[in-house]
Amino acid sequence: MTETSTIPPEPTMTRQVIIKPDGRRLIFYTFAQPTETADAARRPDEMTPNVGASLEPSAG
Amino acid sequence: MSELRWNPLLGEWTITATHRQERTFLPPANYCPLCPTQPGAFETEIPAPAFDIVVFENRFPSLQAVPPLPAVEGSALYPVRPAQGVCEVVVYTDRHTTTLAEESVERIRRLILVWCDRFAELGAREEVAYVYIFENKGEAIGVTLHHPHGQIYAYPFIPPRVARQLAQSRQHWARTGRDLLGDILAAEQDDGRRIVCENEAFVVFVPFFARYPYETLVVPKRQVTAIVDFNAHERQLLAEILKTLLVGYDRLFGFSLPYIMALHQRPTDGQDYPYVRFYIEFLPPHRTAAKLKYLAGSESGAGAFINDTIPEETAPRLRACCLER
Repeated sequence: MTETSTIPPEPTMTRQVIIKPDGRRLIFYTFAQPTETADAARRPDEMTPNVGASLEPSAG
Repeated sequence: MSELRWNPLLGEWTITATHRQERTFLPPANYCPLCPTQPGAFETEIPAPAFDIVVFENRFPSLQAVPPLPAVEGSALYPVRPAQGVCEVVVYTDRHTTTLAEESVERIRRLILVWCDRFAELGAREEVAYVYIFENKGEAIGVTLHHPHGQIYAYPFIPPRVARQLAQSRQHWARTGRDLLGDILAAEQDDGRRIVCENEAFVVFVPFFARYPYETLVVPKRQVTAIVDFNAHERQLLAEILKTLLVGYDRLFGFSLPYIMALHQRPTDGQDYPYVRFYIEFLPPHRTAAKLKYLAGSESGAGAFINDTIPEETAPRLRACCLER
């Protein structure tokens, strides 16, 4: 088996949606690494995807 | 013009999309539409000087949220439908000259989170029956842009190859009470000769029935039906195994290997699919460094694949490349 390292904390993902001039949607995804202390309190299998954690208002 | 035209001979839809003839084709690096837009420079698709991962609706889509009415009238023999759906481009990074294989496990993990988000959002749309996430990599596959990116097609129907796999899996489930891919995984693990790499949560193998010499399946040990069902630990392990496999592919012939990467998961048409197991399929067209596998007479005309190699010989070669440090 391929060796696996200790699981680093999963980043929190945020989205910024803009509407391009021709009406198409574009989404910027950015990621922030949670602090180690916050993550240490949670077991990996308790974590749910951080997807769509924050949806910024449309800028366009 | 864009529409769905029914093929009564095969019982499947063909998508017409004539506007795609005009799409950008292998532009010079300083006119790449997937690069960030720099101040005072060519305006790309992405209006920012830097970014992490970006998803946007394709400028030349095969399927559209508000599609035009079909340009031809349908009939009982030839039904037509609007080409409704979504086509998105997923730009992996703002760096032009890199590949997913060269990126960090952390970036691949971020990409997996984006895939989860897109599957959840697009799959929730009423008109979407199947969310297909994929990457075409390399000119041998026919890419028109070199900047590292993948695509997502949200179809208004279940695509024919997927439908065929679902039918096989459904029959197996009814007969045995087990998921078919789980049994395939168990058979590959029992045999062992075609295993390429493995970690706590995933196994990569060249399947017994491989159609391409270095075709692989990345299969989870736990049955989940969609990417959104993995926990954080599994997402990390998926990123790690993908990195191992992609690096191994690039070592195989000593160059960045072209491939099709296809994510297979449950349809999103509101039905129940307990017999599905998520997996990722890699289809590299190279059979040697200089020779490609073409879909010719038997494959394209008859649908019968001929593999010039056997998986028991190709898997160990790929395995050695994945184990190399």
